[in-house]
Amino acid sequence: MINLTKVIEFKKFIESLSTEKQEKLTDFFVEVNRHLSLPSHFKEAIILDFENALLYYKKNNVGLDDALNLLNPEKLGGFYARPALLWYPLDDAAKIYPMNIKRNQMSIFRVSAYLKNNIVPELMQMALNFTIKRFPFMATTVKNGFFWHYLDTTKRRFKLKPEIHKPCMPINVAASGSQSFRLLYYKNRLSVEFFHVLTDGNGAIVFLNTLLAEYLRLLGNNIPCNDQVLDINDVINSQETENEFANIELKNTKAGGFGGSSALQLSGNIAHSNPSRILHFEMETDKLLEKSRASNTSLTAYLLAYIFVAAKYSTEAQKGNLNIQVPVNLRKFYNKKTLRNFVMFCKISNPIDSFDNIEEIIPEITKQLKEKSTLQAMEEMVQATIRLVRSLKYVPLFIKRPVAKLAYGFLGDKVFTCAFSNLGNVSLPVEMRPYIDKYDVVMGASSTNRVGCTCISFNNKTVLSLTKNTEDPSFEEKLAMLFKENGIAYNLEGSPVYES
Amino acid sequence: MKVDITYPTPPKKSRVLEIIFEVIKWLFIASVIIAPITNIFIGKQIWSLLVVWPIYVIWTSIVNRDSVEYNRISQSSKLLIHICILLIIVNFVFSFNWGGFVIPLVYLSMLITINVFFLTNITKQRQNIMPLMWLIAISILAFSSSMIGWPKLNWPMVVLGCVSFVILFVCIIILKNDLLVEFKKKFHVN
Repeated sequence: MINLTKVIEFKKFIESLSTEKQEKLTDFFVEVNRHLSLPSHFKEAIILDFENALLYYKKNNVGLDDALNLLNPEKLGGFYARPALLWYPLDDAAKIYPMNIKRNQMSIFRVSAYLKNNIVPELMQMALNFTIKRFPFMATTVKNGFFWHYLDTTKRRFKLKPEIHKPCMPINVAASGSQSFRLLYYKNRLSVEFFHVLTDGNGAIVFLNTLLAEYLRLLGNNIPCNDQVLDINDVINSQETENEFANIELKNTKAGGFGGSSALQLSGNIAHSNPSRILHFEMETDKLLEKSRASNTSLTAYLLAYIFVAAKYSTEAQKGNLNIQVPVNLRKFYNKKTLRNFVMFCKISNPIDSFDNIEEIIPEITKQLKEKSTLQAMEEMVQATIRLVRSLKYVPLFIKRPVAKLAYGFLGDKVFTCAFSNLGNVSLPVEMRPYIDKYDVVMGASSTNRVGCTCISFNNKTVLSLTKNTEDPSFEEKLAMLFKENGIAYNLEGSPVYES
Repeated sequence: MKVDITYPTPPKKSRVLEIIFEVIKWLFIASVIIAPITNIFIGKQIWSLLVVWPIYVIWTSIVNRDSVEYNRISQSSKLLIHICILLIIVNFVFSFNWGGFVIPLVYLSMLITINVFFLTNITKQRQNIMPLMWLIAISILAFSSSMIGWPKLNWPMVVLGCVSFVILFVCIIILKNDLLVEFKKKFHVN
């Protein structure tokens, strides 16, 4: 819907310019037009984005020449001018996700960055318009193949929207040319929610950082690139879009690591509509590292210990195992650059009656984490995944889909009490650091697990996020109590309890 | 536990539709169980098929819609197949013998409509072409089969066969290599 006020405002802006500048502006929009070969409504929307950005610059006393320079249409590249020809088979880890979509549930996760100042939507939209071409596999829609789903390129204007709804709500990926991710802003927070078929946490952070860098450039800053901030005008490296599972040699070695018996679940009814609440414990990274080093363990294992103890106090069960799923980034083992999914997981398991406090459980978690996240352990899982995918490759999707749904229903999340994903430390170029306050990651809702935990660190701030799927507050209360007892100061932020 | 709220309060969502769907779901499940049992006790024709099939059609088209590829070509193709199966069931249950005549005509009219959907927005719909290709394949198969003798060759079947070939030809002319790419996408195994 075109905002008439903005159109009138832009008209007045043009009228206020000298003839020379008006000509400059006309030439600029001719150039913009040359880069857009889209259906008219998308084309008009992108032109409007340019107009809104120009109006923003004008209001902020940026000269027209500088503004036109910042919004150089060359940054659109050929993305919007070329037909949608590219397509991508799903990576092996993603193949299950589209088969398991339900009306109110799909595998979504979200990464957010908190800037020091509020987001300027006009410029953020332009940053997205410029950045998307660098991530062609994200400019896609999920489609049905005869044997597998795949990602089909969609050429459109990708939207930035204000955040109104709950985090990680299902994305409508069914419509023709629909987006498989959503970009949202709320005050100083920019969030990207991805359907997991596109990427994993690692790829998501790279996308978010690249987008933020471009946004900061549009604000007039000089931001260089690094491993986690890609050059949007660079040629796309084919390794980035690769399904790296397909490049791993199938060996005759041991394969396994999936399945297992059901794990204990936290008490409390699953809320009718999930997530029921999002919570973020913001802590000092240095303090956490100091504590974890004192316990001879890693930060991941240290936080896992808290999660285990909090989980123990949040269930009424007396016997059984608490199993926590910990995703493991395979890039570090295989030296790959892919931005698609390239993670497996390990299961950290402890009988509920085997520990009472953090100190007791840390050595066991450390040991398990060390053993189960080795190259050999991951190799077993990767081999199992590859074997499964290859053995099913000629089975038509209409058979695979209901079977996968059924199997996932029987096993799925039931094998785990919860998941804990640590995305590690975000490394940004020095020039970018002053503008970003912190990050957080939010896991999508689960139909079985009452909580999902994630963690990310930046700027000496580690944010442990909880996705609550039950209104029972015992888990977070115990966690808060444990942090206090152990002298770890925290700020607790989050959402209201959502009505179910 | 004090929490600083940093998320907006979402607008209230009406659950009416959800409740309606839930009621429909249980009504459907009950009908799908009761109808065949009653049919078995009463005997005569397999009329329960006429209860179960439309329920399945409504279920998959309205209540539990496709979560991937929900577009006008895919949905009208699905509808066409569902209607044809319903006609086959009616024809079979009531021992009518208009099926061989009516079904190709219904198929033909829908096939033309779907082709119009494609032709009126080629840029967007070229990526949704596959359901149309499936329909063409089915009609060519039916036409070829009726040439051999089953079902009976009649003028609606001849027209359907000819129109299918024409539509296929038109698609090849318009899409050229892109059609091959679409096939490659649809039948990839990696």
